[in-house]
Amino acid sequence: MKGSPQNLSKVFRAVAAGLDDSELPVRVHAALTLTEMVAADETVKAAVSPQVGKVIQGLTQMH
Amino acid sequence: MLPPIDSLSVDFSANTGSVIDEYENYSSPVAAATTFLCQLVSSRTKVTFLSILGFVDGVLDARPASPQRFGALNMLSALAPFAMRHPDVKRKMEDVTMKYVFPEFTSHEGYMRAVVSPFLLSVGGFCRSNKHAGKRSCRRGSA
Repeated sequence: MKGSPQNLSKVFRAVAAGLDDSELPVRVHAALTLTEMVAADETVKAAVSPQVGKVIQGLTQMH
Repeated sequence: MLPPIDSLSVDFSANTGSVIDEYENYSSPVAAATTFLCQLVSSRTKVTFLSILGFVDGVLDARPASPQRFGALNMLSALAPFAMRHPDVKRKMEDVTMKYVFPEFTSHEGYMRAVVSPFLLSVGGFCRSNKHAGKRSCRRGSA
């Protein structure tokens, strides 16, 4: 779908915040969604790349 | 409602990490209902699709309690591949997502927050490249 950039960044921020959720299923689904968003959109990729270390660290500690 | 860890193992197979065919398991009411919904809409699209979508819209519009919203969002998730193939509906999906689905990110119930991300995946996110839109099968979704 051709979404507006504003909505895309709102959704991206919400999904990124989901990585720090208190519930495991929310974190897992947020990580999978973020993966697809990074693969599909350049602006999301650019937004994640500065903090990719922190994201990977979060993924490895997910339990 | 399943405990968090069990709801995850329903979503994913423990061995491969891939999505298992949870809807092949007809012993669960959610699985049976989702399979029925997908079969119905894929074989009788013209008669059923828009009216079911109207029903879901009506439920979400009334702002019912979380379990009802969860069900409606799951239906919408299952119907997303059909919605993304329908030119008129496809255009409205962004508004629907922002109006009904996005607010659930801050819901108090964990299961409501957990249903949002799979929904975004099944509508293809907000991918402007349109690479993933409509590719997910209607089996994908959160039980």
